[in-house]
Amino acid sequence: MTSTSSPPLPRVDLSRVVDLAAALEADAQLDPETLRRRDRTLGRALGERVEGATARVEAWLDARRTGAGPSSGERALRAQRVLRTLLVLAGLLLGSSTALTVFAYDGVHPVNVVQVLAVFVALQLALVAATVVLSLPESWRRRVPGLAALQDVLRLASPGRWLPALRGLLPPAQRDAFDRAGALARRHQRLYGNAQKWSLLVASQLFGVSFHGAALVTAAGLVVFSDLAFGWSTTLHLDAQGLARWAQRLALPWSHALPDAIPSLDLIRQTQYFRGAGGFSGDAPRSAAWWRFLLLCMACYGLAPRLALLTFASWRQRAALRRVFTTLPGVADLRDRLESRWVATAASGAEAGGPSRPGAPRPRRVARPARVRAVRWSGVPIADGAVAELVADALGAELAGVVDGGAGSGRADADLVAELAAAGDPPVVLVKSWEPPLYEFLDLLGELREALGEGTPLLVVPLANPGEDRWEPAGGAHARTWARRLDAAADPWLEVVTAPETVGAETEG
Amino acid sequence: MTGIPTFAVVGHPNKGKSSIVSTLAQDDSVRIAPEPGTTTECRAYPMRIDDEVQYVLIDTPGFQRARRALEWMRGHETHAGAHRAVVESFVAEHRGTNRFPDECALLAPILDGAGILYVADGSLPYGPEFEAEMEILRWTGQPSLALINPISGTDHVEEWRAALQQYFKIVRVFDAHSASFEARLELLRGFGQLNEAWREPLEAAVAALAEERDRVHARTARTLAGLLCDVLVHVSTRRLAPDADPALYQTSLEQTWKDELRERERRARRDVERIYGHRSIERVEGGIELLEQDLFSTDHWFFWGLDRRQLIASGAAGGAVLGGAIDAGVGGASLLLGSLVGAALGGAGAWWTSTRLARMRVLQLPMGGRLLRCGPASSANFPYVVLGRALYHHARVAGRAHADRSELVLGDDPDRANWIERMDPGRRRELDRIFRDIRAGEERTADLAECLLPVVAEGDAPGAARTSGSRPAPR
Repeated sequence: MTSTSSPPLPRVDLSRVVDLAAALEADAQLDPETLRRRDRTLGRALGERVEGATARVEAWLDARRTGAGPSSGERALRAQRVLRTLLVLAGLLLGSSTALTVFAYDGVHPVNVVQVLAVFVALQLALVAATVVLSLPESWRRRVPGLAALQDVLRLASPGRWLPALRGLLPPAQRDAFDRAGALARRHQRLYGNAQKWSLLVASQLFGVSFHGAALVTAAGLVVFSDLAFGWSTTLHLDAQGLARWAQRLALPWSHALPDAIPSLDLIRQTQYFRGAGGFSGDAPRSAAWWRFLLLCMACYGLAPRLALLTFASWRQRAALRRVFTTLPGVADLRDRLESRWVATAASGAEAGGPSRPGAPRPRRVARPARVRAVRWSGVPIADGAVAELVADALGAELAGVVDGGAGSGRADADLVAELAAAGDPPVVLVKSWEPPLYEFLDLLGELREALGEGTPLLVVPLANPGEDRWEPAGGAHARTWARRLDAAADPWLEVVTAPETVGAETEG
Repeated sequence: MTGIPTFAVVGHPNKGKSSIVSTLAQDDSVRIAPEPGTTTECRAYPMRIDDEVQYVLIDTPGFQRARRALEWMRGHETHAGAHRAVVESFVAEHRGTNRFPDECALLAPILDGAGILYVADGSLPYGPEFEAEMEILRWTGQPSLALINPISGTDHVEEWRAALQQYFKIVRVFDAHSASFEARLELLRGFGQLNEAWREPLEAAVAALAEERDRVHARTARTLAGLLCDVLVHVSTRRLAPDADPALYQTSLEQTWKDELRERERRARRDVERIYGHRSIERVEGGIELLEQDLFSTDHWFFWGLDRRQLIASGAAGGAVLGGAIDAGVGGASLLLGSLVGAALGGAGAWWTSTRLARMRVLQLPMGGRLLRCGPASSANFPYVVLGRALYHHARVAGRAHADRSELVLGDDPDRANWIERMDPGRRRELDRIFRDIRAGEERTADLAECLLPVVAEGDAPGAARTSGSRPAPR
């Protein structure tokens, strides 16, 4: 058999996880046998062209998909994308406006290099450090004192946390899908915790990348399309040599490739200014030499770490989602159903006729005859003497005679019926209570009634044998079974004689 | 005849034919009732592996007019070699009439090639009225086996064995209401003795059933792992007004917590029963008894979604940022003292004001309050109590025949505590580690399922389940 290569399967993302969780939750309501049969059929079809457990689960999910519209997971993913786009737009806006503010030059006060470095390098490095703290594995929360609280606080300040606040801007269908995804994550917090963390970090880094991208582009635009003068001024104890040392350290990443992008000590000295001493007095065109250094700082310490973190967080998010995808409650059972042989032993479909709940037998008492003729039916092992005793005790009647029946041929039964009809004494048929009444016996009763005619009492006594030679009318379940079954004969002169309190007692649960 | 081993389960009404089918087919939807004639038509129970039928069991109505049917056959008998032809003529003549509907229904699959499984009740005396039906079956010439099903005792098993041996080459005793899984497999293997050609497919079927049983254990282990993971971290909470006395709400919250645990347990019980093919067990089980003293804790909640710990951490962080600004202002001369002092003051301030904040109201809306929390159960013994109950239930379900329709009463059985005591110390240590991790919020469901798998399999071993504690089904 030649196996055909399957088309590449989509990567596991939020939509796949949400759709899988929804499909598994829906399946939980179905009969396990139905599920096993359905999934095994699919599993066998997939077995030839899809390799790998996760790929099979993904293919199963694709096969389960119904309807042409977007699935719940796709809507949740779209919602997430819309929210992230809004976050990116906010980052672009904030980055651009921050750059316009920091790089503002009114012709009097130059752009303060210290301010640029503080906003786009120092602060960003602090935020990157915070992101690294947030990225630490969950297991460290228990081992490092205070880490859990610190992570909680940093998470509160993370831009990714703003996403739920923006959900009100979504269309209703996407908002519902987003809320359902959130509810799913809350229900399985243990499972989704890691994926949520990385999702939050991806959103935060998207904001960071857009912020820094916009700031860099805006700053570059200002450099190209306007004249900027740069100077540096600080109250802190920092002289030109100190700043030069810091600048050289900061420029290390590009010092070999772009040596001109490192501010010289002369430039640093010439561009220091004090507002109290008359403001900026340096050479504005010469001070513009700072721009390459500053833009490279923004790119290297602002944008690049964010891009790296975004890449890392995206990779971890995919891994976390894949882990959720493969460990969701029900996935192991699903894989079992897909991969294991379906073994079934039960009948398919319900038994015909539906369950019948037997009713209580109708109490019935016919006039007791003074003399009866007993029939030992189907080999009931009661002696003649015991029959006479039983008839006297249970029926208050005299025994006219005892005959046997129900053990021979159909001809013998017919002879018995004729004999009883000719004898004239009403018959009392003694049966084994522990054996159920058969149609064969009902046939006999019908034939007897026909031979005896209407009005002649016909008694049936299901016997119980509590001791060696003791016989008495049975009670309990056996007697009720006989009484119920003979009710079906609809013979008003037929009575099933049982122990007192048997007929009419309703014991069904 | 298709070559697929097929077995017609036949006999007198109410002798446990359907019970045997129910247990062998592991199907508790088979109707079993004390009323004769509950089975009104033949019903097939094919054993399939990936849709390929390995063998078929057929439940049949009981003989109702065996004597008269045999009388008809004897009337048409020519010689012993034509017995089967006479039975075929009987069915052909009476099929579709009201004269012998049950006999025609039960003989049809036999005449199509099914083996005969004749069922007798070993708890009731043998009688000559059974001989007509056994004689008819003998006339069919099909391979046959007799099963003595001691429905309510074994008083007459030997009497039956002696009688049945005159009609059937193989006679076995099989209690459909308490047969273990191994006993069921053994009986299926025994069916192979009826026909050499059936031996191989039946062996394949038995191997597949045994393999499936291993997967059933794995499914059960996953179900129990899911239960334990959920109950170990289960918490019920109630938000209270800032001045409310938590003690007043403890009893009701504890009840809610217990009810939720109970419901989760019930779901797991139902899932385990469904895994074993029991879809309609009536279960009687008490709730979890806990002697835990420290189930409750209180905290504050705040309008903006923080708890007290987060509020204090936020205060400390804010203070540290402000202090850091001062440190920066003095060029680091303060040796980060500003950050440290700021964090301490911020944290302390947040702690001190948290209670006041919780009592504040803005536009008549409370800004916070007290949060009463019940659970999770912290006792080291708690997961073992839950596990012990679950393993006990599993053993009872795994050992329960599908014909058994009695209530499943899970009472205070002394064996139950032994489930944990009997556990291998190494496994116990591994469970301790996993339970600790789960309590710390780690995802260890798969590891827990793997650790529980041998324990579950052990619970399904012969003799693991006690049969006491069943209450007869109401009739």
